[in-house]
Amino acid sequence: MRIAFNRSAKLAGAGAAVALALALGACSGGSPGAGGETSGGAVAEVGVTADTIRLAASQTLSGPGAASCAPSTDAAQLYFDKVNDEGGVDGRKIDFEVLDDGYDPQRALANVRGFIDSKFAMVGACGSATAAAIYRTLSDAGMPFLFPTNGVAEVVKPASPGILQLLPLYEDQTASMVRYGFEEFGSGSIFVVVNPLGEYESAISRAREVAESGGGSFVDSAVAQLGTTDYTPIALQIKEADPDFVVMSMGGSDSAKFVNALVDQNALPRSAVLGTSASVAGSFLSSYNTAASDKVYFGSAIQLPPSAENECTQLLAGGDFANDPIALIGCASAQAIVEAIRQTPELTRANLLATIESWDEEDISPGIFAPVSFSATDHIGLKTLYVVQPQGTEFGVIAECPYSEDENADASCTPAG
Amino acid sequence: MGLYISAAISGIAVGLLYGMIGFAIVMLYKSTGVANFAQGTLATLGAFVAWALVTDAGLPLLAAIPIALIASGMFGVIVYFVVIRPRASAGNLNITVRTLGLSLLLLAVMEWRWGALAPYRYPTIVQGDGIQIASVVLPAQTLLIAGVAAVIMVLLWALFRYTRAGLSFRALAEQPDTARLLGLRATRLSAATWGLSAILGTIVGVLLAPSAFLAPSMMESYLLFTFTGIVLGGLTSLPGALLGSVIVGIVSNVAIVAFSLEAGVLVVFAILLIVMAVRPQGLLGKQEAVRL
Repeated sequence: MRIAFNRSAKLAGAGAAVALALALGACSGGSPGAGGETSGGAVAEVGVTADTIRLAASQTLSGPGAASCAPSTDAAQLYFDKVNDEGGVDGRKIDFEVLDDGYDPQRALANVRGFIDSKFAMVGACGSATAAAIYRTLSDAGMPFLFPTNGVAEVVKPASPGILQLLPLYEDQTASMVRYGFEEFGSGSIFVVVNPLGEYESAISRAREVAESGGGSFVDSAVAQLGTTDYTPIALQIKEADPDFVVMSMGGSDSAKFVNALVDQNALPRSAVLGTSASVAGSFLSSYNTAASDKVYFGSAIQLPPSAENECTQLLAGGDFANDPIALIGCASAQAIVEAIRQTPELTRANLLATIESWDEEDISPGIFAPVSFSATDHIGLKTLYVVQPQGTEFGVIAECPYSEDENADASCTPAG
Repeated sequence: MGLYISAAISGIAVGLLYGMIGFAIVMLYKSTGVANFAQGTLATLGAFVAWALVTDAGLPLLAAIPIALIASGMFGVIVYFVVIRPRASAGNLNITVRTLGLSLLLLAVMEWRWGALAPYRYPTIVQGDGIQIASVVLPAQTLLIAGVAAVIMVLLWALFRYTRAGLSFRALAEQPDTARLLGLRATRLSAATWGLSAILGTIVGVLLAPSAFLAPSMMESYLLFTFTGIVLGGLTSLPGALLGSVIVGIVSNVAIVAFSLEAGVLVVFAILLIVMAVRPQGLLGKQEAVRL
């Protein structure tokens, strides 16, 4: 009886071991980033099945930055829905999940850790601080992080595997905008005001370097948290300093509050207010004092108003985000992602990244983005910065400037149209 | 020196705004002993109601505001009966936590209804260039806020100081059981206080929205300074709320122009800590006496 029992136990143990081995085998076949082959010969990849491609984003959906940020992923969702309604990408529907991180790097990291083993790629969203917190984890896992709105240089300079962005860094934008201002109005003194978007110190220092090398001078700078209640004290400082230019890198709502404080205090600079693409948002357009229109010049990653022929322009027309540049960026970025997926023959993470790194003057979203180029060592796609001015409830392009990380490059801008 | 004087003057203006928000919190605290953390979201909700009446119903702003005030007063009463009154004996800490929950709930509702397109440019009640003192310009809307703050403070002070209702409010807050034994209608008084508090919130929201831009989280940044101001001035004193808030406004603005924006916040909270350690009842608050 006892022998029989032991034999049964051994059989049960052997069975359990086989079951465990089978289970482990099944699990290892789906390991992240494996890119191995299934029994049918098709390439298996995390987040990709025969009929679905799973994408995700960690976005600022609550807190002071939510108003400016949320439209980008909302518009991306609209575009993915449109693609799905038309049959998907090569028969696969796009499943897009967005989680709120409240612009909190730790929450963003937690979101990402939940995505790595189940989603194919991360869709970029607002937030330099969050992008900086998550890019290493994504890069190490081999998970593509496509087109975040990021101002932290270390995320893309030098190029991190899998991390690709379209928008120039804020530090390079402030440098370009100072060059543009000096070209248009002559060199002069600058006062720099920034929200802590990305590496804001470098945005200040690059503006200062360009101003001083261009025959101008640096007066002072101020750093204001996003959601600052009252910009009057800074406007008073600027009024006293009386600079030729105010250079700013601020979120949409804060830009509007700041510009309105300059108007209220009669503190607009003599020549121009020069801003980065962070200000080019619907939240600025809906709130700024139009008395400042003539003096405001922002760098923009996209052409504004966008071409009526573009799918995104048509998709957003008449909806909630019709005039919101952030929504256009979100939609056009989604266009780029879908295009990259279409161009990738066997859909693995590595193949997708190789496709994007091969783009040379690729027209991913005609009439919204200028053509983009990437390489294995250059992970910033756009080489053109549009200069826009607010015109009522829209922005309009008034010049195009070649964007370059090279400070000594020819920065001559050409008038639009 | 001129810059510091200008910063101080602009600090008085923003301090009056903090003080107005503080009035509603102090009034409720004086009447019910509860620190209402939902005051900011109640204010924002009232401003959104006025906004919806203008944009959706096509009413002029000056017609929409009185309707929003009435609606918010009724909503304040409803909040009292639904959120505050059930198991009211659970204690002030319990009730205070309920106001936090209410604040989060209202915030979520506003995000759901209006969040997608926020912030909104809000129409100003008054137009004009304002006046210049030293090198600072006080816009017409700021002058209106100062005027309304003064009127509200005088009215509330008179209410608590000279009227039977005010005396009843104070009695209810300080000795609720005794007040009930003496025949005060506690439920009715408390409901009225919540209604009045919500009306005050809407006044603040409507006045603030043109400069802060209407958004569900519009009041978040202001509440920190407001609570600092009213604790500094004394949680039970209306003039103290105004004084504390104006001090916060002046100190923070002067520190900003002297050092940086971060310094403005640091100095304010340093003062708060010192006052709480040295004079916990605040500058004009009364020390609570406990009979042993």
